[in-house]
Amino acid sequence: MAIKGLRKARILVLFLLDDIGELTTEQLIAEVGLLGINECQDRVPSALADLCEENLVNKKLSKEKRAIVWRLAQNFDRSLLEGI
Amino acid sequence: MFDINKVREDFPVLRETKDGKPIVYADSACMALKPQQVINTLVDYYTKFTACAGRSPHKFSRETTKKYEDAREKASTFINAKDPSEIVWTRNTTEALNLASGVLQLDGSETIICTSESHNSNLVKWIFLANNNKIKLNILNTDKNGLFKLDQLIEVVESCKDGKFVVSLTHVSNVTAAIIDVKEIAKIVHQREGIFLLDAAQSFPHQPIDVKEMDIDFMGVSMHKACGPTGMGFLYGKYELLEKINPLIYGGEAIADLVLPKTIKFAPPPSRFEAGLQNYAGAIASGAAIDYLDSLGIDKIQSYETKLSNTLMKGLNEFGDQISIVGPKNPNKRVALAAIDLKEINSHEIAILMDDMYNIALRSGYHCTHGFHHALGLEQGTLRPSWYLYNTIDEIDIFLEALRELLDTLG
Repeated sequence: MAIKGLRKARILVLFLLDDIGELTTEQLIAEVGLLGINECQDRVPSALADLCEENLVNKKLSKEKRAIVWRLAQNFDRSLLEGI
Repeated sequence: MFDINKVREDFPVLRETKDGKPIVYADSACMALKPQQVINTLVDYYTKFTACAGRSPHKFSRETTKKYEDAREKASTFINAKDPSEIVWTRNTTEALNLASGVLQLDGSETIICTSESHNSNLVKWIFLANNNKIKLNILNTDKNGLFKLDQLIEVVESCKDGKFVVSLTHVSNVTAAIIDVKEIAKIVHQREGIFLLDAAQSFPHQPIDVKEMDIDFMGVSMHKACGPTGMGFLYGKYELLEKINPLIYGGEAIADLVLPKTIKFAPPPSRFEAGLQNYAGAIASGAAIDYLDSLGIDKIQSYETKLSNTLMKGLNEFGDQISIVGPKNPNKRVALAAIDLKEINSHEIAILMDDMYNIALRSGYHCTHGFHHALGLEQGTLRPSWYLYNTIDEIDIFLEALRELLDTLG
């Protein structure tokens, strides 16, 4: 059974942030693309905004990278990713 | 307990009057009335968070996305589908059935089996394809009692079992009101490895449907007949079958990526079938309609409507030979509608007079089942009152009294 696009994008974003740490949206979209997500990559920014609103992900503006930098919230419960 | 007075308060249009008299709405098989809860949801979308779902990252878009997908989940739960991705939003049952026809290869080898009382939505495409040698078509005859012979279905299915075949039936007829045994038929079809497609336009609003237990492959539903907004319906399909079919409409949202000049990477179902901006308000309000039916209890709705059906059939039986009813005589084997053959009187005349003189809104004519009416010689059309969860026994009595007066006057 396929996971609906946005849910899939959310899960992939969480895995990527867990694996790689801080990422910009541009990098995230590229990484998700490389993973071969069978959904439109335009879903990634919405997924990030939702995850941030749910306090699963934090964001800050990086002048150096000229982008928003996203990372997992400090208290992120990694067990959420188990078994997916 | 089903509190009809409380239910009626939910439907603002029932407060409307004409010449000081209330409207008796008896056309729900065509279009159901809308409760305030559904109307509020539509207004909320247009006044609080109007946006496109799934694409833009802003708050309105994300709220639209969440509610759009929540509504899909409600539809999925209501019919006990395995997963919300088995629900594809469409405009209506017609579009859903057309979309499901994408399961065919159209190489002339496949057979479609359907029945003569089917709505045009479940006949016209098959006849068009057969006329163009894309499929073989076998239309089983349904008699005036609303029944087709199960033995005949088995015989036809048996003769097709070495090739691909699709049995496309109507769960509840919008004319005969007869209810078919879906579970039994699905078993017959699947034993011979066929595909079972169901038109549930007239059943979904009135009775519980469990697609897993009934083992339905594809099912078309119209939300506008189930207290939902106009122009909304959905196709249910088993995921493994949805994965095999091509879209009906091509465009954005349906794809994961496109590389020029010719590489298209389609998104998985259901996105693959929802190209272009969708009727987000409609889908979200469809979720509200399902919530509404759920809050009343679909079992209770069915049980209440059986009482309406009993009253209607009992009253109509008293007309004797003046009229005849299409479909089963037993009220428990039909839903709360009746197609009435007025013999020498044209059905449209009575429908217009009912509207003019009694404020009774109902349908007349062929009800998008031209073929069935012609086959039965019902060239004057039939008069069809159809009742729903907000109708009362008193309203049926008003209808019966009006029919009595009009037939006495014209007869």
